[in-house]
Amino acid sequence: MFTKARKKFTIGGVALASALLLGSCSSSGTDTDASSSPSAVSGGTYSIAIEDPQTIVPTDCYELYCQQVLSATYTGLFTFEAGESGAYEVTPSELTNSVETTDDGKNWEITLNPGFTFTNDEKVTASTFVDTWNYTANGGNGQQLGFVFSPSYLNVVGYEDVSGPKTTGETMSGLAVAKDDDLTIEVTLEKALSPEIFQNFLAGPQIMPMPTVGLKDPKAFDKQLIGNGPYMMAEPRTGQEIKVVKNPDYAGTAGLADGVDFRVYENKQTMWADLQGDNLDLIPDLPNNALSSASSVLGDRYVNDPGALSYSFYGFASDSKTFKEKDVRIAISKAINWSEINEKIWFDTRSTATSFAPDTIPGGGTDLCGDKCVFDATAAKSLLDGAGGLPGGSVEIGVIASDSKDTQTAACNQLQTNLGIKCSLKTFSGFGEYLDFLSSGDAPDNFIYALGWVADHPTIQAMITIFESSNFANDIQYSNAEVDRLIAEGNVASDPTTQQQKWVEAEQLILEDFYAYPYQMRNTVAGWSNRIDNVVVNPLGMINIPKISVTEQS
Amino acid sequence: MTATPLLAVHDLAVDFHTRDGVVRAVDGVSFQVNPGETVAILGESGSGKSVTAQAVMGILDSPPARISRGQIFLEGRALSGLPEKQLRAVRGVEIGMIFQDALSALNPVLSVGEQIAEMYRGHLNMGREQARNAAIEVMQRVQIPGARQRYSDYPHQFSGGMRQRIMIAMMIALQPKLLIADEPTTALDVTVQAQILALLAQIQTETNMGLLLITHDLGVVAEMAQRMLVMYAGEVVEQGSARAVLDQPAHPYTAALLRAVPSMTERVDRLPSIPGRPPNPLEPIPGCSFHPRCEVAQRCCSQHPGPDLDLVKSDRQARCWFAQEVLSGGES
Amino acid sequence: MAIVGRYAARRGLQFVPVFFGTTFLVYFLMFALPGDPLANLSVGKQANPAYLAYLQEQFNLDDPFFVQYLKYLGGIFTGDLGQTFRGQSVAEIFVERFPVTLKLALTAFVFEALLGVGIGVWAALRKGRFIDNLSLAGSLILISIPVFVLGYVAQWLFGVKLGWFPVAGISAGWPMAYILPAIVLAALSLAYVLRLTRQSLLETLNSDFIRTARAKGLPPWTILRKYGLRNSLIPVVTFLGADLAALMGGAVVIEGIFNVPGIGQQLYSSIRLGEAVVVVGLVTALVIIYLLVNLLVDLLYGVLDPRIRYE
Repeated sequence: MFTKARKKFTIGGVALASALLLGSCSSSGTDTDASSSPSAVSGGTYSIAIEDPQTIVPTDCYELYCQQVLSATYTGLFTFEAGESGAYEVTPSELTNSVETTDDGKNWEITLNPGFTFTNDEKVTASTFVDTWNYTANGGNGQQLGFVFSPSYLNVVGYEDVSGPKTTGETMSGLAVAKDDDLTIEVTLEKALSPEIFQNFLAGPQIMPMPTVGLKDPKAFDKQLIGNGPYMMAEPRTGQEIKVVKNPDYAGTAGLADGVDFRVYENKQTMWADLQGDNLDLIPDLPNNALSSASSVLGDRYVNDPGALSYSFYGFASDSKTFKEKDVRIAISKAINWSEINEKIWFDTRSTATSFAPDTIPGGGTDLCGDKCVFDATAAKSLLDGAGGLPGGSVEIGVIASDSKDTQTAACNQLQTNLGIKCSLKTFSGFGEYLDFLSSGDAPDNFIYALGWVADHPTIQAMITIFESSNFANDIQYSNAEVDRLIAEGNVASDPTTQQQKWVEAEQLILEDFYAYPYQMRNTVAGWSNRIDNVVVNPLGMINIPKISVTEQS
Repeated sequence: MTATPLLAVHDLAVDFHTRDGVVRAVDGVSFQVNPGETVAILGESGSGKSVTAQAVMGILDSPPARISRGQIFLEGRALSGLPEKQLRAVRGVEIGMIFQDALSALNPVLSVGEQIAEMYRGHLNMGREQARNAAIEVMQRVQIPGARQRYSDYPHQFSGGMRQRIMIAMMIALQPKLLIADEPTTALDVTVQAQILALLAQIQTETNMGLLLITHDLGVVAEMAQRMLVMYAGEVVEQGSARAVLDQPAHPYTAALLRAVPSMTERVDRLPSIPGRPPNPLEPIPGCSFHPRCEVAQRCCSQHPGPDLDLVKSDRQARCWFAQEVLSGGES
Repeated sequence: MAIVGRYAARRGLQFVPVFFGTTFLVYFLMFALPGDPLANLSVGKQANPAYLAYLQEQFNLDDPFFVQYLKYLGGIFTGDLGQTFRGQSVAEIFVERFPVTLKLALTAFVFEALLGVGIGVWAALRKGRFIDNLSLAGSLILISIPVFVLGYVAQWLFGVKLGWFPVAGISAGWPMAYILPAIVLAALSLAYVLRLTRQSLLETLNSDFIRTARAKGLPPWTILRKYGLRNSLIPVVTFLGADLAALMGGAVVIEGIFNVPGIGQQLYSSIRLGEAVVVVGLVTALVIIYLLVNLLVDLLYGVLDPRIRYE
């Protein structure tokens, strides 16, 4: 009843076309989803497995699992929707009326639609967002998502006043509620940003708005959220479950199911067992040992789509003498048969990489690596020989024991067989230990950095930002001023075509330098029971909760 | 006497089925005990005397032990062949048995009073209070000081002598006709030993109880027994009136045992001990089992079959070809 | 009773050095773990510097070891047992999770005690026969199979395939959700209890006082009960008591496989994340519980065996 009225809102800025597809869009850009409308039945409850989200307070919620819960209980400013090409684009949500810049990207106005309230009847207004965002950025509050406003991201004016652990400021001067209009948020940035980037920065990771009572007492709030979304928490959460039910007063499009049960699991193995035992409806990822049987056990209740916003890459230190010759680096790349590894070890839940950005990102999916990323053992060997062989004759690959030991062992074997060099693994018990090692400077000269990256939003920039010199996550300390410049130019480019062009150029440069190259792209994987239908997972791994329908309602 | 003996054991043989073979622990033992009489079975360890006692009581571990021959009569009633349930009604009630080491023979986790009261409650179905009083009474009878207070004490809280008294109390509680005492004083020191023996004698006088006394101690035999058997390697080698046997043994083994007792009057440089060791039950010796250690053994002694237990004079049996010689050559 | 009280008090005093020793040792071990705990928080993405700075400040992670430790102790004496990196208090975690572990431990304990003692006695009485050999072989197999294999197999067979029990989680409540994990948890101990009971009973049945009991003409059931079991079960009871204390410690593997949200699970994730205060707090609590249970077991031993009562 509500939905028809609400659709008549104007959209400014980017993503115009895709917004109109909001209602009918159900494709995740691939062919194996079961999301056709005839089965969209309403009612019923279903269960989703998540790992322990620790906290579900929106301003502190960075991990996928807690974001998943928030996506059901909140409506933020933006969503990601698949466009015609299958690429995901940032889209204003039903709460957002318009996003406009008054001066090419430094000063922004975000206008909200009226009518959205929290379940405690507090209205969702511009002040809600300003208060929530100030709280998030405040260093003394220790909220994980504070970095969204930092210079490495939005770079909101006044951020340094609030962000340090001992700063006294409470508000950023760059955030304000428009005079006489409590539905418009004014944002002032230090440096201009393009509309696509500005919205993407606010959309992923998204900071959901919090009611005043939540900002005052986040600890209590953590037990039972008060949101403004299609579902709400009717009871506090226990350590094992977060139960949500339909929000009867929701101002936007209602969800199909009557309730969702988020169940906390310690590991994926148990999730899988419970799914098979018909006790669980949806698991957002499969344990490695289930991959081989997943398609036969689940049939078409299984999604394995390439194009997740995550990849694994090899990095070489730019001052390494062992890898000084580019041909040596290329030889290493060509000597490993990744498609075989993806098939045998990962049962095709990983894909070979041709660039850093998959085709689920606007502008992504082109083969920028070219021949350098194509497996050819003979060519690799002659390349290596032509470059004068591998100085030292051996390489060492760093690997986190629990994640990818099998993969790196296979890669190592291939290097030994195909290139005739020695290869060994250096295992780390966890990411922390790996990082320690990287920052200690103890890495030997022949060390290959096997790392991964997960992007926060679907832009090429997000996929390659770790190669920017200023990024604190740039562990291999790759630095190319040209790359930095191109990325920065892309950030401010006002039209999407130029923007993507700049970023693609940056990508090409990185792959030209070849101090880092992607060897494996992740797939989006999920499995579900025969009780539900309409499961759509976006490349960030987020399941579209309101769209899921329960076909078997007992 | 034509009166029925209290206990009659006739040609008892007990076999043990072990992994290494069948061992005959007791072979052809016969004897009688009359009411009020004390019969002693004398022998070294391994002679089969304890097995005999346990066989009479019926408490041999039934695999591996098996009574392969013989019969046991209590007051003329055959015990062998009775079903277990009926035998349980005999044990503790008509025949009692006390053991050597009271500390290990008593249940460490039950109070002594309770262990005695068990007899009254189990066999006579007495109530708790009544059994308790009866137990205290019998404890007093065996001269345990402060019986009432010590009722709830545990075996480890008593001295060796007291523990033996408790065991006696337990086993005479129901006034059995026969008491079997398997080395009752071996673990006690001499003064206590005398007290216990005196106690047993007293009970016999009071109740006309028969006593089958198993021992390796000649002194005990001398003091208590009217009749005695000497056992060696599972067989009875001499049998008769205790006084007469001790005065004038008819078997070289008995004679050697007697010689080995230190004399109060004479001084010797070395105690004559019996050379050699008792035979390995798995390797029976051909002929007379004692012959390898015997002073007077001749060639015929090693020939199979060995001597029978023959009557060598009135009221004396001995298992030896040369019994007469031993008798006459024996010192008095 | 006064003697018991004094003994208990003496033992209770020992808790104090144990408390300090444990907290110090565990804190030190956590500190010595390789890797920056804050870095472990970044799973795939790296936490930004401002947030890290906040955590450093909050959790004194910049301070040298001894300073951290002393600050922690100081917190304890004001009732602050610390928090996880996400702000959940250790005391709260304990209160939430311990009952689950307790239920699991007690259920496992019941299985292990009833089945272990029951079959052990049966096997001893039927020595050499089929049930004896079967139980010996069976217990050997249980001891040999790693617990996680047992866990996954049991989960798959009885949960997924046969559907007799819930596959995971405790939403089905007690007892249904706890039975399968409890049996797997109990399996190893059960094997030991079985063998111990059997061995102990066999030895006891060879004792002299059994012979005396038979000479007393007591019925076999009474002999088994008052003479056989009452003596032979003493070492079994003390083993069971110690085992119960160990069970309380939380079975990390079992809790993981069956998704039981107990102490074990929490310890596992806190160790992984490097949350020293959580690990120290929980481990110390478990150690104290362990000591308490052991103390009770020792007192119980005194009740059962009069020979050691008056030491």
